[in-house]
Formats: sequence, structure tokens, C-alpha cells
Amino acid sequence: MCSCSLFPPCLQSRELKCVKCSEGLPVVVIRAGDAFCRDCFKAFYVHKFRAVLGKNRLIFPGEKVLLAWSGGPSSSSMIWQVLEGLSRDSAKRLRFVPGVVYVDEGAACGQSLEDRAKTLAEMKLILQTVGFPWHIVALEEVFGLPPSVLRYLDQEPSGTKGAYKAAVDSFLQQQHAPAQGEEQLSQPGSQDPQSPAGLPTAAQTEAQPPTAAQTEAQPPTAAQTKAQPPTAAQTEAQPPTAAQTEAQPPTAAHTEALSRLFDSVKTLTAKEELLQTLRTHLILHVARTHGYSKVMTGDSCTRLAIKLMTSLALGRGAFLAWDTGFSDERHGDVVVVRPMRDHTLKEVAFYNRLFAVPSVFTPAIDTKAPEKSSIHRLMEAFMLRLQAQFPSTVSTVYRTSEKLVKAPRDGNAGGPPGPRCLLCMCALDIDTADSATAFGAQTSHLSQMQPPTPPAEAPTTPCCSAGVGRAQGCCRGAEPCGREDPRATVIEQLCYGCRVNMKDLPSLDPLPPYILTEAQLRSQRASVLQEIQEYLIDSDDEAQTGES
Amino acid sequence: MAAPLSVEVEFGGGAELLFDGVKKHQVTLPGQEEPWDIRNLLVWIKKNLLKERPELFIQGDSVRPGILVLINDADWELL
Repeated sequence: MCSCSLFPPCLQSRELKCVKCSEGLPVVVIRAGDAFCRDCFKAFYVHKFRAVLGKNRLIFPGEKVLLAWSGGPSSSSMIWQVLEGLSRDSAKRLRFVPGVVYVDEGAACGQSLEDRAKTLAEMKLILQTVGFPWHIVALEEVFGLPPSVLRYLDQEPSGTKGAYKAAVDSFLQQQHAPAQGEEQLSQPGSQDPQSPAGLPTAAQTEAQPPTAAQTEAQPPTAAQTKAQPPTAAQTEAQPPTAAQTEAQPPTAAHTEALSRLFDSVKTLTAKEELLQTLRTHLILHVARTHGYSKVMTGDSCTRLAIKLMTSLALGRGAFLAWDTGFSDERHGDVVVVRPMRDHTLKEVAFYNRLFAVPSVFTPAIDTKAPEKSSIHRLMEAFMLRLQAQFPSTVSTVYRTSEKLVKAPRDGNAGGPPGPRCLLCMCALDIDTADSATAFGAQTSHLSQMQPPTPPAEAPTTPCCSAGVGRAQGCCRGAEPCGREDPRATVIEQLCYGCRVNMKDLPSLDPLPPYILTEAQLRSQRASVLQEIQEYLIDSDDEAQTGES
Repeated sequence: MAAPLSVEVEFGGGAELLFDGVKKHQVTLPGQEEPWDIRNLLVWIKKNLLKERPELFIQGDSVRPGILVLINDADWELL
């Protein structure tokens, strides 16, 4: 990097040509020294996006895909690529049905209501330009999530390579048939009548019927009218009520509760992890509610490389393949896909600048934080500094992450029987006999642990209240019900990384209720299972350990 | 002896937060002995435009790693 930049500019620049076409004037340097001209750069960028999608044949034609948009450059670029990819009129155009979700995290970052309203207005402008059906959710809605969000739901088997090709062929055939697609527009295109967070709670007046909203929402592109979904699952109409529940602005109570939750977390590292977890759950809920089977996130190569190193530092080494791979099937029915993982942040920034991709900058929870304030910041500074001197750092880490393989547990290919972490939903590797690992040591310690102090947050409900078919006389026995301590109940259902994060949360009370409810449910189920274990007819596949 | 130079400096992607949220600055660099180059420009920006947290923008002689610099919409690494 020639940062001294002699004046007049050194002759080298005059003679440098695009490495690809050898005639254009280069505008950007990619990787270690390849200079690309504007047009070749655009072709290169777009090609990479299509190639990543095409290589991993996961997105079937007509499938509903939710694009997770943060307003930032990578996700904005991703949306732009999808927009351009859908509008091409050739056999090569993208074929899925997109929707956009934006999560308003202002409350967690301490933003004022006016700032949040201003940001939302800017976001909506862009969303209207893009024209996909959009969903704006405030992070406060985590307080209304159902516990089912934390469960692994089985996916319809998507089949083999043959199934993909067959799906594409049948889709192309259907395209030639006259499109009955017009009525398609009216259902997944749920233009949610969102009121900005600042408006008073006369939200009912905002809840326009979805059809009225349609006329302004959808510029009916040719691609969308022809988006005939081949599977039956796609044709279910979206219940209008689901769209309207998102129209409510967050109540002040929820905003307050969210601020309290994030204020109670002691370190920035844990805050970032908690924010990420809640955001994931919320997006998953939106996807499940509206019938999206895939979620695309805009994680770039640089971000994923940083995430890989950060995850290692946080004790999530076992789940690297899911955290940084192209596809993440930990939720079962909704698969998270990362199409931008081949693009470095530099490429994204240049593309956005050169080709006017709109994006909105919103301060996040770690904006202007000093370098040593969290593990994420530290790792980011480390990687970027290394990258400045050794330009192949990020791509090397990325290539390493590509090689990570998702090992099936005990020969089960992704089946649900194994226990999963309550928060991150990765398969727990519980082997109580293996106390050599830190995780094993913790697990065995917890199962013998007495609650250290009489819990200040004494459970106001009797431990068997949720009544999961539990016999009434369960606590008649003299031995104390070991599940009295809610904190231990939650902690023992977490993976190592999530447990480490929970250490920075002194009390679990401010957590959204769905987490505590699900934890309670699972532990009750586990203890019931343990009680009746001896009566169960043991077949080989059903041998389960007592812990959840 | 370099004549005063008129330059438009634009910040984006969050960098504008360090400059009071102002993205575009039309500045006139004063005439000085040595000709203006990027290094001098950065020093000048730090002294005159930067409002807070210099360590988030400048590191030593150059910008902090991760900050991209474009000159007339072209990568400064091309120079």
C-alpha cells in the first residue's frame, strides 16, 4: 500500500491496467494485488454471488427466502444482488421468492425514540424502493415469542441432487404455462403496515387490510408473477392477522424491560452474544410465521473470518461449521444461508460506492467502543491489522472455515434425538463419562450441585406448575425437588459457550419469558423421563440420557 | 510552494460519527511549503476536522486498519 502517494502521482498508476480485460483503467485492488476496472469488478462481484448460490444447490425455485437486512453494507449489497438477479430476463435469473426482515435494535443500543423513528423512516424508503415484501420487527418483540422458537422442527426432506434438478425442470415447465401468478401477489406480499416506533398506540388505525397495501407495495415484476411454487407448502395463504400483529409499536414496558436486560449484562462480549441470540430467535420466528424456509444473512468473508476466531475464543469451537459455514440447519425447518461469504468487506464497500447501493448506517452496540472492550472488538482489530500487512489473512481463515465438516452425532444425520443447547440450538455433546473436557467437568459438577444459596429469586410457582403431564404426587416424596433453582435449570441446558456468556448475567430474571419457560419445560420433561425410565420399553434407538 | 488546494472530503460507513455526523466536507487546504500529499492531508484532517476519538480514525501515519480510502472513486492502493 503506497500511502505516501507522491505528488505528482507516480507513473506506475498510469501504466497499470485491469488484470482481467487488460484495457480498462483499474479502480480497485482485490486480494493481494489484482487491479480490476469498474466493469470487470462488477462482473466478478456478481458472478461470485451467483456462483455461491449455484454451487450449494440449496435454494429451490419458488422457495420463500427471507433476507435478513441490518441496513449495513453487506446485507444491503445482498439485497441488491437478489434484486438484480431476479429481474434478469434469461434462463439464468434467480428463482426464489424473497422477503426482507429488519430488526430494530435501538432499545438494546440505548437509542432514543426519535432516533429510532428517524432510522425506521430511512429504512422504509429503501424497502419501498426494493419492492420486496418486508417485515419490520422491534427487538422488544422477543418478550412475546413462544417457547416453540427454541425447538428443532423437522424439515421436509429436501432430497438429493436429483431432486434439485427435477425441481428446476418442473419449474421451467410451469413457467411456460399461463401464469396464475396474479393471486400469488396478494398473499406472500404482506406489506406490513408498520407504524414507526414513535407513534402513539393508536396502532389499530394503521392496520390497513393487506390487499389495500398491496397496490403500492409490489411493483409486479415479471419474475414474481411467474413465481409458481412447485410445492404445496407454498400455496397456503398468509393469515392477515399475522401481518397485523407486527404493526404494533413496541410498548414502553417492553422497551424498558429490554434496556434493563442489556444493562444487567456485565460485559460487552456477553451483550453482543445475547443480542445475536435474541436477534436470531426473532428472525427465526418471523420466518416460521410467514412460511419462509430459508433465511439469507449478509455475513461477508471478513466478518465470518472474525467470527470464526471470536467463536474459538468464546468456547464455541465445536460449532464453527454451523456458525461460519454456508448453510446452518440447526433449527431444522428454517435453514440459514450465507451467500455473501465469498465477498470481503472491501469488495462490498467498493461495490456499494461505485454502483450506488443504498444502505443506512445505524450505530450498533459496539460502535465507538474501545479496542479492548470485548472479545469481538479485539479479534476484529487483530484480524484487520494483520490483513493490512498480510493481505491473504482473511482469505486463509475463510478457506480454513470452508474445510470444516459437520460431523453427524453418533451416526444420526441431523436427527433431533440428541439434546440441543437452549439458546444457540446446537447439538450438545454430552458425555458425562468424559470429565476430561471442561464441558464434561462442568456438566457432572452441575448435576451434583446443590443450589448454593436459597435462591433470592425463590420460584413463586411451585416447581411442578407447568403441568407437563406430571403426576400430582411428585413432590410428596421426602427428597427435595432438585429443580428449584431456576438458574441451574437453565445453565445445565446450555452449551459451553452459552454457559460462559451466562456467567456475565448475574440474574436470569430479565431474560424474555420464552427462554425460562422452555428451560422449565425441558427440565421437567427430563426428570419425568428419568423417573419412568425403568418402565420404558428400551429399544436401541430410544436410549436417551436423563439430562435434556 | 504549493497553492491552496480545494478538496471535497467525504466520510461514510460510520466514520462520519467521528466528524459530528457530517458526511461531506468541502475544504480548502492552505498553501504550504511542501506539496500536499495524503499523509499531510490525514494530519490536517485529524487536526481540523476530527471531533473525537482520534485513535478510531488515525493510527500512526495512516488510517486505522479497516478504513478504506478512495481517491476520485479509485482505490488508494493503486497509487
